[in-house]
Amino acid sequence: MKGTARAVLAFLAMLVLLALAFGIGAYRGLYNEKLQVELALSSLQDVLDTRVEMGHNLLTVAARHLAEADPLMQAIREDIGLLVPGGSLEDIASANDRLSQDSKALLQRLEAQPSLQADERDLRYVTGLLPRGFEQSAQWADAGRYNQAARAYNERLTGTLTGQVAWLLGVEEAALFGGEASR
Amino acid sequence: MSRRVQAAWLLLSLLLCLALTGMANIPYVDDQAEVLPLQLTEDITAYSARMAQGPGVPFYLVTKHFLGGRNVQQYAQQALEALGDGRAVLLVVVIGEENYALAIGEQSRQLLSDERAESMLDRAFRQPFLVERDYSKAIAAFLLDLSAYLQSRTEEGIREEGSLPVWAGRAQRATPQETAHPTSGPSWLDGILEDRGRSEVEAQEYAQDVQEAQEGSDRGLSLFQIALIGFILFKIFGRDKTGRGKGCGPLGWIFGTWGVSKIFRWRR
Repeated sequence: MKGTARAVLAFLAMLVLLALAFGIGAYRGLYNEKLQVELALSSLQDVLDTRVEMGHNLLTVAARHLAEADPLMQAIREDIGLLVPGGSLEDIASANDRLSQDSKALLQRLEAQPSLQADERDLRYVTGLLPRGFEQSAQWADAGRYNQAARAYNERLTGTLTGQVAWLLGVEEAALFGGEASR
Repeated sequence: MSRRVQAAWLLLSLLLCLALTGMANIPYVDDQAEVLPLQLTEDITAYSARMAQGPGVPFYLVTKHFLGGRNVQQYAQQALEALGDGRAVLLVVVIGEENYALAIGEQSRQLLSDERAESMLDRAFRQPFLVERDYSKAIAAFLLDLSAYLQSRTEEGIREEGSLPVWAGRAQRATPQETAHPTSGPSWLDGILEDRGRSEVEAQEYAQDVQEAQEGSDRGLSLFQIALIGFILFKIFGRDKTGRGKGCGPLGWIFGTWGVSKIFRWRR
């Protein structure tokens, strides 16, 4: 009888240890995956610096042909002011989208300016280098790729046993760029 | 000579070669905006080499279209520090921002003050750069004035001026050469971003981080691992003390483990 009680106790201890090992493994694994997603987000914010640079470049040229208080120039100033690390993902995403639209509109507006048409150098900037630079920077800072990775992680967190255990132990879902729904 | 000494000599020679190659690789002219004719680039390079030997002040030039909101003086100072030559004088010309800055190395400050350099820029560079947009003329004129001043301070002359006086509009040339216009050649990103290399590296890192985040840590079990676990389970639980089977053979345990791994998503 004594031997049986010991065996049951040992079996229970084994089950507890197994459960602990499984929980720790699940937590560590998913936590590391979360860190990887956060690293991708941080890299995206580094790449967004290129968008800010392009915004400054466009404003430099625009200031020679439009009034300082021009609404489009003002809008771009606000957009690049929001594209800084520390802001919410939703704000950064919408500022990034707005920057694409505002810069396109400002480039078109500038191209129609007689003073720009008379300036060979600035005309080359507005019709060549600046649009290409914006296009390249938008390609680099494609937030959709981050969202795909974050969504894949969220699915692993909510759709697997290990993920659910990790979630119960406090590992959180990854935020999506632009406030998109994860599922 | 022992082998160790020979090896040390070889290593020292290699390091010296590498150091010399590294120094030789820093160009005197880095025309990222591609606004200078090739001939002028060569003329400035040759002249800067003579300045380094004569007055002992090498001249470096960087042209860009934009700096992306960065302060030009800070940029020039950092570029000078990156050169690692305390004798150097570096001129940064930002075409699209109509701005420029000169950075003077610590050792050359005894020869050339900021005020003197500013005055030379105002006199020789500003007008052709901002009004005429003749970048070749502006740079050549400033370089000649700078060189003349440094020669007078050091009493080290440079006899051969090459065709710089022609570029500076101070001498006639047989066939005038046109100053290049802003181009969008293969290195167009160099001219419009503060540091194209850094931006490209960051973009690559982002792509790589996203790829790794999407794949996850890939901790699933391989087919071989599942089969091995199934076999071990069979060995442990598949027979009783008398050695008789309990209804399932090794394949039964292996397929059972395969099914369980599917339920718990342990498969890779």
